[in-house]
This record gives sequence, C-alpha cells and structure tokens, in this order.
Amino acid sequence: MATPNVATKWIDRLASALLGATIVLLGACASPSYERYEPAAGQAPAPSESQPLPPPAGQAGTAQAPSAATARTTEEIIVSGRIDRGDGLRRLQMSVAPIFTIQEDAAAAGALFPGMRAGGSTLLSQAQPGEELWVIQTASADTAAEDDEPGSGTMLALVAREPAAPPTEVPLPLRHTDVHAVVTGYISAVDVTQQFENPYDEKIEAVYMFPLPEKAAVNEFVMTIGERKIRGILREKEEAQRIYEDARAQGYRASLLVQHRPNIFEQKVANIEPGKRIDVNIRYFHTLAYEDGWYSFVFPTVVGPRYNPIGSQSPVVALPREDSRQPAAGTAVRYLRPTERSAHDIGISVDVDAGVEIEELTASHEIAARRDGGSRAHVTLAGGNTIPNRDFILRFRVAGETIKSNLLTYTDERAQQGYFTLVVYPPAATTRLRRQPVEMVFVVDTSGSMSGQPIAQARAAIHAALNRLERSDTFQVMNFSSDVHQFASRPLPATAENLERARAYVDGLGGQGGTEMLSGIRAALGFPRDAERTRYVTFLTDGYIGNEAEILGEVQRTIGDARIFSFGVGNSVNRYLLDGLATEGRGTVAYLGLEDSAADVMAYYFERISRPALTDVAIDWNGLAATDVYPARLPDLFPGRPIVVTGKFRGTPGDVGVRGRLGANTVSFDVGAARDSRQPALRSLWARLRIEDLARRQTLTGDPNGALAESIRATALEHSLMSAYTSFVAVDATERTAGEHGTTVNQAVPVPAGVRYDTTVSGERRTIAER
Amino acid sequence: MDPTTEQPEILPAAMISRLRALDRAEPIVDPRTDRAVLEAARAYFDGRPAAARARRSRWAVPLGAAAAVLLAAVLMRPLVFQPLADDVDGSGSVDVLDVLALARMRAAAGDASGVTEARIEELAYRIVALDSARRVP
Amino acid sequence: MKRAARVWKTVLAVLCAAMVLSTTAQPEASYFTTVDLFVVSGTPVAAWQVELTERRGAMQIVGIERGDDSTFRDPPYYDRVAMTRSSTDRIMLASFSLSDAAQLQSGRVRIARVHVRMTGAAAPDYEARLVAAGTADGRPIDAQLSLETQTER
Repeated sequence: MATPNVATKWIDRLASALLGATIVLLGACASPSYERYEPAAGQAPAPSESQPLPPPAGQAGTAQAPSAATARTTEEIIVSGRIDRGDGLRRLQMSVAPIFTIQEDAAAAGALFPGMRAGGSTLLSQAQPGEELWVIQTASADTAAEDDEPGSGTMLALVAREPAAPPTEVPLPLRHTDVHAVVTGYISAVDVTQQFENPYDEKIEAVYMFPLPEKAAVNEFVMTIGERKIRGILREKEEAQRIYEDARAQGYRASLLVQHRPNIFEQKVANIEPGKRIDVNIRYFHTLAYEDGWYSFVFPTVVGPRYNPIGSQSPVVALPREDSRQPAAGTAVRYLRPTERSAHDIGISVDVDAGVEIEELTASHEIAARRDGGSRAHVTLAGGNTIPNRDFILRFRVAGETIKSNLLTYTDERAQQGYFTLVVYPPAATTRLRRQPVEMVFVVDTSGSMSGQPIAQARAAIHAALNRLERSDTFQVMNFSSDVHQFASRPLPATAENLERARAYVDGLGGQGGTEMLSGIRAALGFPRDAERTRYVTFLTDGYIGNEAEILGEVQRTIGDARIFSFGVGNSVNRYLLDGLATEGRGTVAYLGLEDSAADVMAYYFERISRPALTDVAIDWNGLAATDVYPARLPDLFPGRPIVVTGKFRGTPGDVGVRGRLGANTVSFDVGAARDSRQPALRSLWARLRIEDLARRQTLTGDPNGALAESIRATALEHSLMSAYTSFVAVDATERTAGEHGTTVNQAVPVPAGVRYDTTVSGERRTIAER
Repeated sequence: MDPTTEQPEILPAAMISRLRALDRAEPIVDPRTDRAVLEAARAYFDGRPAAARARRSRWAVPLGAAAAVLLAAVLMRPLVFQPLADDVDGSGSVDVLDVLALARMRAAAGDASGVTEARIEELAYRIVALDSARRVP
Repeated sequence: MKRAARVWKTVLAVLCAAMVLSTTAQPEASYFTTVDLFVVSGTPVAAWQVELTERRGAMQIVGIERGDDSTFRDPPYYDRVAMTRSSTDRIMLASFSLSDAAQLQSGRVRIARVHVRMTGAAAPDYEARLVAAGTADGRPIDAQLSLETQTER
C-alpha cells in the first residue's frame, strides 16, 4: 500500500491531468468561427451547381483538407450538395457539423476534385468518412445546369437572354395560395392555404417567406396531406424549432411557422416527397381600417426587398433566386428576376357582412362581386389577375350617418373574463376652423427601391402639397437614400419664389442607393422647433427597410410635439413600419398606390390637417372595471378616423363616455350601451394588441431583463397566438418518408409591382459583400 | 391565474357550525305526554258535527297534499333542481353531447335557434379544458 | 497551505470535468409515434369525448388528426392552451358529427389520431377513458374505447 505522501502525489498528478484534459476538451468543442465569404472582385455569386463533384483522387467519398496556406474559412451555412463517387450520386450521412474551408486556388482544387472547372472555388470539408460532406461550388456565370435537380437548395433554369422574351417559368414548390376571408362588421377571419408540391424527383424541404397584415392574430395552423388534416400545436419558438428539426432529420413530414417581423413570416415544410403535395392552412383574425366611411380589407402578397443598414441586428436580406447563401444573422427573401416567373398564383375570396348598407365597393385588382342584400357581398379575384406581386385591397363604403361609436363585448365564461373593443368615431358636428400655420417638412425616400414609378408618385404628391401651402406656412424638403440631403439650410416661408425653387429641387429627385431612414428621421426631428408653428413631418416611403425597431424607437424618443404623417408609396409597402410611424408620430397614415392620384391623396391629407383633431382623449368607463387597455396612450381623434380601444373588463358593462379637447373647448359624448358580440375573436384581438404594446415597449427600453419578452411569450401561449417568441409546428408521425431528409428549396418571389429588381435585389448582395 | 392549479374552496368555520346546527336529531317525547295529546285531539274531533267532519275529511287530504307538494317544489327548487347553464340536454353533466345538442339546434333552425357557431365552439373548447376534467383513476 | 491548494485543485478539476461531461452529453433521444383512438359500439356514434393519459408525463403532442369519418368536426377539439406546455401527461379530445345515423359508422371506429414525440428510451404508458359518446339524436351510448400505438425508432 502506498504511503500517504505517495498517494497525495498521485492525487495531485491525477487532478492536474484531469484539469488539463478538460481545458483541452473545452477548446476542441468550441464552435469554429467563420469569416464572411466574399466573392472575388467582379465575380457575382453564380447559380449553385447541381453537377456532382468527383471525390478527391484516391479517396472515394471523402474530402481532403487543403493546405493551410491556401485555405480560408467561411461562415455560410451550406445546404447539402452531392458527391459523385463514380457509382452514381450519393449523399452521405451527417453526425457532427463539419469545419468548412474554402479552396480558392482552382488549380490546387482541381488536383483534389478533377472535374472542377477553372475559375470556380470550392468548399472542402474536414469531415471524416461516414460524416456528411457539405459542398458548395460557385461556378462561372456560363455554367449550364440541369433544372430538374434540387442541387444546392435552389432551382436552376435556362434563363432567356433577350429581355423581350416571355418570362421563363421556374419550377418551385409553392403552387398556389388560397385566401378566404369572412368580414363581419370590422372584424375579419381569414384562412390562408398554401399548397406546396414537389416538382422534382427527390425529397425537398420548402421554405417560403411571406407577409401577413402586421396586426394579424394568427391562431390556427393545420397541415393537410391528402385527405388527412393534422392540426399543429403552438409552442415556444425554440422548442418548436427543435421538434421540427428532429422530425425533419428523422424523415417525417413536418411544417413550421415562424414570425420574423409582425408582418413577415416563414413557412417551412419538410420531407415533401417527389410529386406529392402538402398544404398548410393558417387562420388569423384582423380588424379592418376605417376612414371616412370606407372600410379597407388588405391582404399583402409579397415581401418587398429590404435595405439593411450596416450593423442591423436581424436583417431581412434580399437575394437573387439562385443565391443559396444564408445570412449570418436575420433571414433572407429570394427574388425572381424580371425575366422569370414561378407557377405560384393566388386566389382570393371575401365574404362581407357589413351590418349596415354597403353603398360602394372597390378593389385594387379586377374582381367579381355579387351582392346579397344591402349589407352583404361576395367578392372574388378575377381570373388573369392572380400573380401575387401586389397587395390586395378591398374597400367598401357604408352609409356614413349610421356609423356611431360602439362598444362590443365578449365574455369568456370559463375564465370569467370579459373582453371589449371600443370604437370611437369623432362626433359629426366638428366645425371647420381655419388651419393654423404649420412647419411642413417633407421627407422623401430616394433609395433604389423607389426608383421608377414610386419616386414619380412621391414627386407628384409633394408638388400637390406645395401647391396647398399658405404664405404663413414654412416648409423644408429633405430626401434620404445612403445619406440625407435637404433643399434649404432651414425651413423657408412658402413664398412663390421659394416654392418655385423647391419644385425644381423635387423634380431632380431620383431613386438609387441604400435606405438610411434613421438619418432621415433624425434630420427631420432634430433641428430646432418653430415655437409659432406645429411641425408636420410628411414622410413618403415604401418602407423597405429591415431595421423597423430602430426607426420606431427613434421616433418614440424624439417626436416631442411634432406630428408624423406617413405616406406609403407603392403597391406592396411595409405597412408595419408605416402604421408604426403614424402611431408613434401621433399622426395618420395614408397609402399612395402607383395607380392612385397623388393630387387627390394630398388634397385629402390637407383636408384632414385643416380640421382639428380631438386631443387629450379620455374614456369615462362609468362602472365598467376596465383593465389592460390598449393602446395605453390614446391617440388624437382625427375626423373620419376612429380610435379602436380594446381591453378586459369584469362585471356588467354600462354606458361609456368619451371626452377630449377641441381647440379650447372640452367635448364629451356617449358611446351607448355595450353589445355582446359573442365573438371569441375579441379575445384574440385583445391579446394581439397587448403583444404589440409589449413589443413597442421593448423597442423603447431594450428589455434588458427579458421581462417584456417573457410577458409576450406568456400572453401568446395563453391565447394560442403566433408571436416573435412562439411558433406553430405540426408533424405527421404516421410514417417516415424514404431516403435522407430533403434538399432545401427556397421559394423565390417576384419583386413587388413597380419595384425595380436591379436597384433592390442585386444591391443587397453588394451590401453583404462589403461588410 | 392558472385554472389547473385551483384549489377546492373551504367553507368558513362559522358557516360549517351553522350548517351542523341545522342537522338536529329528532326530539324524544315522553310517552305520557304523547298519550295525553292524542286523547285531547280525539276529544276535540269527537265533539265536532258529523257533516263538517265528513266534508273536511273528503277534500282536506287531497288539497293538503297538493299544497304541500307545491310548496315543497317552490321552496326546494333552488336547492335541489339547479340546472347547469351549459347542460343543454339536461343530463346533469356538461360534455360533448351538450355540444351536439347545440349544434343540432342550430342545424335545425339556423340563426332563429339563437345558437351561434361561436357559442358551439366556445362550449366545445370548454368541455375539453383540462382543468375541468377528472384524472384517470 | 500546500494541502489546501491540492484540495482546491482537485475540486476544480472534478467540477470542470463534470461541466464538460454535461455539455458534451448527448441530448436524450426522441422519437415520433402515433396513438390511434377507437370507439367500439354497435350503435352509430355521432359524438365522442375521450381523455388520453401518458403516465410518464413525457408525451409531447405534435399534431392532432381526426378519425376515419370525414363528417366529424375536423380536427377534434382539444385544450390548445394546455398543449403549449413543453410536455403534458394528458389530453382531452372531443368531436361530433351532424350526419344522420344511417351515414355514421358503428363497430370499431377510429375517432382520432394523436401525433406524439416521446423522449427517453422507456416505453410510453398510455391510458384512455371514454368520457361520453352519443347517437345522432343525442342519446348517450355505452361504448368501449381502445387505443393502438405504433413506435418506430
């Protein structure tokens, strides 16, 4: 038996060895860091190559690490490729994440992969036999490719060289989107069904980025396979992701719905077998916008290409269809070239029960409308009008004199909890007062996405506004793209001479460059205020930016007593941002489509600011024990635009009153008795507004302790709603599909109508490479 | 509050003691007192005219019984017969058969039934709520 | 002092080793399976309500699907809030059909399928209870309930 001294020595040595081994093991387990991949100068990332790469000479099925002298690292997540091992196309199994290296020396790479083309570059892996080899190859631009193989996550097609040729159809998995909405009063229940079909001869995973209205309360998710419908379950986002990845890896059909923005969602469908179809149905509730007698039902169809300033935390990157790279942070939307189109089309039908006489019905698209009595209508999208590249907007006008403020309630008897929605319309007898002098600051987005029709519309709108200024007003014109420019060093009086010069300045505005909107906001709100005039900031933009939170936070902090009136210019604008600017800026929002009359929209805008709003609005609940009321801060009540307030209550709802200030006078009016709507949708709508309010506070405070995030998560789970922290997942556990998990195919979408591809999508690539 | 963690209510002690006080045992009567009361009653009734006795004896019992039943039904109804708000089929429990009953009412008469789709959905989701279900023994 | 340093070094080494082992340990394996619920009745069933329990509490519902009769409400009703929890030990399902008795099925009828993700190697321990079943005209039925599972790992 060893003496105590010897024993302690051995313990000492053992402890040292254990400590040392632990440190070494920790170092080995550390995640590799990647540098950003940058294409060689002048070389654009080319379509991913589906042609199999031969294995390194002498090592069938494995890869050989290149010499350290020529190796560079990359941070891209690479979709699986193929390795030709001489006996056909194979894909190897994966057990651990490989460490990637990139070989830029074509000659050296050619020695390892004899079939590789000169001028290309290849990612090689240090994976061992039995581990999955992830390969990406960027080939020269004239690479011919098969377009019936999944390849490296994107589909290839022979692209027509002549612009005049008809668009080439690109096979992609999303075949059709069907939208059916039921509008009751001002609440709509919308069913969206996305039909995914695999046109290839291998399994695929389809990934699709799409928009929904920013205040949509998404609470249902069903995956349909043949005749079978599998209802998905809402879970915490990370948990849902784990379940989906698990199911995908094990070969089960599964689908996952993730929210990236309040108005941008991602749908993933795993293991779609060749020739098979999987449908995903999403249901949401939504309230219609109302203005001067017109209700608007909006269904967005495409996410516009976003500009993401350097340093954006969670960008939404616009990439060409064939670019299979994944951004290191945020997410990506792939776009079809103008010479391409997919088979994806859209069908829309809306059943309207307005509750009051519908006097007029209009839409952004050609529609077929069937009236059913005075208050009902059935509307469908007309054939030949089904390319999903602009928002569908259905507007109907109801008899104005019948619109009154109202209080709708719903009681959840199980939870013994009541929910209400209070709609406050401004009183009809609002006298017209002479408009007070204003300091009008026009801020125009002149970025690349505004090039063409949108900037032309914006110019026309500003001209119309300049024509309506009075001599007592002052004005300034600013424009922003990659930086900010302004017409004058300070706001000028609206004299004839100054206006003439300003018109010339506006005529010179074009659209190119990035979208540094934050700079534009700071410039518009940052200079000293005119004590004798209210500053009205008229913001004209398509909203195609990826840092909405930063923009809205800046407005929250610096708005002061100014007002922001946001104008969305284009056919598929970022309504989440534009509505947010109006909300934080205590103004209103208007939408100027490419076919609308800029003069009419501006005339209406000036009409609005000529009639004073009811300010300092407060609600007299008169015994109704209202809690958790949203919005917490009531906005001004503008003529023609109601305020919608939602909250919880207990007890019996009685009469509710509203009061506010109209200039120097105090005005008050009754809302009337509450009406039991028997609509569970009110509960979902309340929860959605609570989530929005919490998210707004997150933007302002940064949420250092994560308490707001936890509140959002808890509210979303309790009410079964999608949010930034919850996702829907559905798995068909009946059987595994054959073969390995499928290649990821990103569903490319058309750029919105009126937006130029070359100034938005390709520009994003340069932004990525320049970082 | 999470309804799945609700605890059953415990009555206040004062209420418990008052309820117990109502639950009294029947009084024990002295046999001599009992006999004396019986003899006095007989004497009283023996002294009444025969016709009046007959009339009273023909209608008194049925009317009295009817009145007693009616009174009992009115008084006891709140205690014994407490219909559940969602027990549409009157089975004494709320389950999917009540949902079916509502759905059948709506299918038969549409909006005139007073039953909405929302009402059906609400009750359906309520019966499957885990906090109101018994665990498997 | 020397002894104290030795003790501290040993403790530190053990803690480090434990930490590394815990971080490098493979997550508990999971698999997907389905649970089919059947009602057995000689009378056509128009409405049913079932409670399914998994005694180990390791059941994670990943999908709910109706049974073979397409006239039933699809998918069945269940407690959506309770299902958002990471794992649960039970679920209550219910559905009904407005079809006539002649169009409804009797005998052994599959009424629902629950798609489940299980963690761990131990076999699941299910129990099912038929809460209520009824005919097309709303009369209660005395029916039987059975379940079938499939596991494929």
